Amino acid sequence: MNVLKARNVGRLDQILRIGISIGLIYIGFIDRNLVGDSFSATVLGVVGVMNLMVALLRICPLYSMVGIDTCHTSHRE
Amino acid sequence: MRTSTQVLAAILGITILAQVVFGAVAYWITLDSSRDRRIEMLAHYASEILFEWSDSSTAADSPDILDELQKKYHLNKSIILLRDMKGQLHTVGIEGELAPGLLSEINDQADKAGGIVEFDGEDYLWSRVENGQDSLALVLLEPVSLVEQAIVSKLGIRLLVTAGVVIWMAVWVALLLSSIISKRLNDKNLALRHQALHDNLTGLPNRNLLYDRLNQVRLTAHRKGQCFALFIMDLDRFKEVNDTLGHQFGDQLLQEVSHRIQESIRENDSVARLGGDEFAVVLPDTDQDGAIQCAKRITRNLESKFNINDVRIEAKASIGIAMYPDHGTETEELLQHADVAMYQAKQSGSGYAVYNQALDSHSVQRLRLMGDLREAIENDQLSLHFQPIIDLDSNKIFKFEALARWQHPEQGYILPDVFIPMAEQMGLIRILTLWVVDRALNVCRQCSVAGYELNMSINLSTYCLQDTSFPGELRTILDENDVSAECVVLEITESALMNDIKRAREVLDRLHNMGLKLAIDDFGTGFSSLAYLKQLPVHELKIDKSFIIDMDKDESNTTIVHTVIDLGHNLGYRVVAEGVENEHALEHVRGMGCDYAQGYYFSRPLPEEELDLWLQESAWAALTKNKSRSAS
Repeated sequence: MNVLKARNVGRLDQILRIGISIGLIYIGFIDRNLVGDSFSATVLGVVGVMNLMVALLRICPLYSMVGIDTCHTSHRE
Repeated sequence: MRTSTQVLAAILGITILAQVVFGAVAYWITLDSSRDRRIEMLAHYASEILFEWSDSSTAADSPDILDELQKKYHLNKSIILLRDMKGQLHTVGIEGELAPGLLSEINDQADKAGGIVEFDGEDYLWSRVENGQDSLALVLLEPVSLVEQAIVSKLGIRLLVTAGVVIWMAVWVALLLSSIISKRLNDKNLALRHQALHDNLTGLPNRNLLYDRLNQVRLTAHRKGQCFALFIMDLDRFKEVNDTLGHQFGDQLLQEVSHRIQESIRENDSVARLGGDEFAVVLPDTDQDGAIQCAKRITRNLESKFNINDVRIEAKASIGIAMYPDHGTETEELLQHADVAMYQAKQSGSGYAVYNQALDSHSVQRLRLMGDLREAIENDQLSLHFQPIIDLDSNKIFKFEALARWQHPEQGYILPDVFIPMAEQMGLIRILTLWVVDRALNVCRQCSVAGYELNMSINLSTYCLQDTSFPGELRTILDENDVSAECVVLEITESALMNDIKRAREVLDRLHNMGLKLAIDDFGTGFSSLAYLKQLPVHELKIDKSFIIDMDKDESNTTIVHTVIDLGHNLGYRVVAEGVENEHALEHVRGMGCDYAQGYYFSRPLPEEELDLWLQESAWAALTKNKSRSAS
């Protein structure tokens, strides 16, 4: 219940994040020549992995710090 | 623009500016160092090529070797110059000749091993390696744009990715900051809003919030066809608590009272403190019976004693109830009617009262009457009546009591009990008293001229005893009417006297020193302190008529009258019996040793114009007339 309560990433948010994460991971670790710079590719890849974790857990620490909640907004209204 | 948007815009602006500056600086630094490094690289390649050529049997300008070298050292866009043994520079592996100007420029810089040369609008990096043995020299030339392209492609992507990450972080920092700022501002606003709409002492809503809630309840009631109740209440004698136990104690009492009121009402009812000891309660969706039940509950809860700082004290409230829509449909109207009801409750002492339109129209009438009173005093429309007071030893008239009367042109006779408090409330009592004194002394002088040596009793308001200029003004009137101060008795009720005796003392002493006498009116109906009474310059006690009239019916009244007469005599006062209406009463008080008597048995209060006739015809007056003076 607590985990459910702590969730702050909504369904649409999650889908968008997964899409973006797959793109970033592909650029960062799978086809590194797309960027042409290995450092940049690695950074993008790491960002993609972190974003994917947020999307799968549906808990974004930054959201909770700032007070954003894309998960419960629709239920409140 | 909202604060969060402003913070976001500011941080993003700063971040992007920083990114642009950082990118530009990084580009120039990188370009400079890359040029130097490329020149070194070209020198390294050139020496390797030269070494390979000198070892090789193949002609240096063989296309195969050049092709191989260019591939090996990634020199596909570089120009290779070779200086032969004759000292001539010529290109290798590139068709056509380079412009002689470029060649001569490099030749001129014989002392340098490399650098940048500009030719035909384009910069070239060059590096030269010489073979000292056979005077061969190799120069590698490469356009600077090649280096720039390499930097842009590599640095550009890095900067783009870094900028993306930095901007992403900046957005979050901005959001974080704005959320912190917004939260603080919000907290502050909420605190200010709370402060503006609530009472500091009790934390209850204040008048502003009450108006707002009352409006909402009224609109809801209007929409749903419901009724609701509004209470206005205040604590009886709260001022005394404040004065005797201090304001801090009073504040604590108000806090406790507010708690008890809150405990007595439902959750959806609202309590507000209007100021001082005045509270208001709004009871939505409540009929009159429900409102009365709630009012009873509040008064019952307040009845049990409060324990504040180990002092046990009780608080009694007077609650005025106004019902929507019976007693008003507008907020102001309801508040006003609840206020009127509260005064009705206070007057009746019942604790609560529902607004009564009949009584309120009286209040409106009272307001109109107050206006008329001012006019009546200013335009000399009041009159004086005089009632004789008989000396029981000599059966002569001892004095008259002057009584103010008001014959209203529309409403007829208005009782002094009604208009005197009005005059006090309106601040007209001083003018009224001086007018009465002036008229009464005028009549006194006329009587004196007619041969009647009479004293005059005049009723005095307690307000006059607070006015230190009053004795002086009285002196002037006495002088103007040529009446001796000894002839005037000022009557004041004991309750009025005891209310603020310390302040009155100064004025009373001055009046006494002027020779005026003081009588305590309606003695026995108020709360006299004998300790104070004995200190005051009192000459007379007037026993209230209620004791005299009922003497026959109630034995205890006789005892009281007898006791008061004895008390008065023992303290050295003369005693007047009011309300003597028949001979039996007269003989009764005479038998008890009373000094003077007043009442309908002798005469009703007489208008000024009838006074002469009465003095001529009355048996009491006949005994009084001073023949010698009359003759003179």
